[in-house]
Amino acid sequence: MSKESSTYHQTESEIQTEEGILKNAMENPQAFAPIYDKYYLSIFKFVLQRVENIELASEIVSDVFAKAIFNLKKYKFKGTPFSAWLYRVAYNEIANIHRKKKKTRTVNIPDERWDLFQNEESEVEDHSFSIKKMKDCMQKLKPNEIELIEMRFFEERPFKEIGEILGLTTENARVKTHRAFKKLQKLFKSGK
Amino acid sequence: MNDFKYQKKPSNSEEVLNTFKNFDQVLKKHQAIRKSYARVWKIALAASSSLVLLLVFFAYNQKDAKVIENETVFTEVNNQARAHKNEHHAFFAVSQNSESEKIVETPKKTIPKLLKKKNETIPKFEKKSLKTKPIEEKEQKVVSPRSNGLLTPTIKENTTSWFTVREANAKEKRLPTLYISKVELPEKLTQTELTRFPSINAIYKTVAKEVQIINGMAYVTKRDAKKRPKGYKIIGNNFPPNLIRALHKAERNSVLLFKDITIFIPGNGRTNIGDKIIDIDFGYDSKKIRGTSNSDE
Repeated sequence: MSKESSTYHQTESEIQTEEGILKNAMENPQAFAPIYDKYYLSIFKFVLQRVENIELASEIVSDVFAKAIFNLKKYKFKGTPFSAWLYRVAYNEIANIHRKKKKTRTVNIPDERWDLFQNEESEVEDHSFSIKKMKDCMQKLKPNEIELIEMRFFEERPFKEIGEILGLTTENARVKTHRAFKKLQKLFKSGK
Repeated sequence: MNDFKYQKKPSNSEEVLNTFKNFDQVLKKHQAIRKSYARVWKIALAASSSLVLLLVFFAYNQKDAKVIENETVFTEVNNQARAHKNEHHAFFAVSQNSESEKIVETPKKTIPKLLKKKNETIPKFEKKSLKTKPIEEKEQKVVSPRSNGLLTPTIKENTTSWFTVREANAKEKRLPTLYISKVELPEKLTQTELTRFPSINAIYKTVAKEVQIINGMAYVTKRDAKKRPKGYKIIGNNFPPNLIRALHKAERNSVLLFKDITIFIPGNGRTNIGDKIIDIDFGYDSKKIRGTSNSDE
């Protein structure tokens, strides 16, 4: 997920329009279609990042939108894009699916991110070796630390959005991400 | 440590992802969720309403079965009390033989009879006193011999049975009213009433005040019984469990006899208010059900 495709950064008028659509959708679920079109891809990518295959991801995405429509009355407009709330629904839905179906949580790491610390290494290492090392180090992190690293470094999300998805303040999200990254870095260096 | 699975992200184009795009499916899922929630709500509503109904039903039943206590007594017995309006109740004990049975009646019936006898000596008494004077005053003149203001009970010797019966005198008639199984001065009670509401209370109706019963004996016997049966001590307002058991086992023509009921009247102290005999009505032919014969009696 690149910064360009992120739906988090929106203008004031876009957010206001979105609010109007959501108000209509509360009465009539059919009116939710523009929101579905707008966020479908970003939610799909978010889910696909965390599950093993595309079929399961598509199933989860339709569940996410169905639940979002059902719980739309609970949504409180806070001046932020609707996507943050939608990501949170998706995040909970993924956790539910993993718990119910006893599936292992998957972390899909983009190719260029396997060598996250490669620049700091003085010697150029073998790529396969660095992948294995990265896996081992990440294995030692806590699940919530992986979440933060995943959102910040693999999906390149702003701290504000990370905070909204995980229910943290922006500053707290930033500090926690920094600590998780430092921990991973330390593990990577010590495992050398 | 975590058990996450780390894998290389497969590259999926937006076209591929868009092939899964189906808003109708989302709406269908939404409908399904809504229906299932509605069903759950209906079930929960039905369950809770039935639970409330059951609770109300049980609460109502329990209220019925409650032992008469304090103020509740007065509301419950109000209807019965109306029948004995303007009367001051006391305890009249009843003996088994026919002679004494004539005497043993409710106060309402007894007083006119007695007055009738003395009609000649006090010609205007009956008419006047019934309206104005309290009954105990009338009875003082007509019935009981009193000396020095002390309780001098009239003891009627019963030659045929094991027990003797002492009638209450005029002073005793100022005593509180006796309720047995929620019924005011009962002459006859069903076995069900006695076992369902096994209580005895002494209450001043006019001031709505209950006094404590501190002593007394109860017997389940027969009017013509020669032998004293096992007695049950009455302390407090409830029948002892053994008495309830005896009432359950009571045979036909049995009576419930309370002897020497003693109450504690503040200011007066312990006061023996006499005896009380109650016929047990079985409401069915107990002989048939129990399979006992009359010869056993």
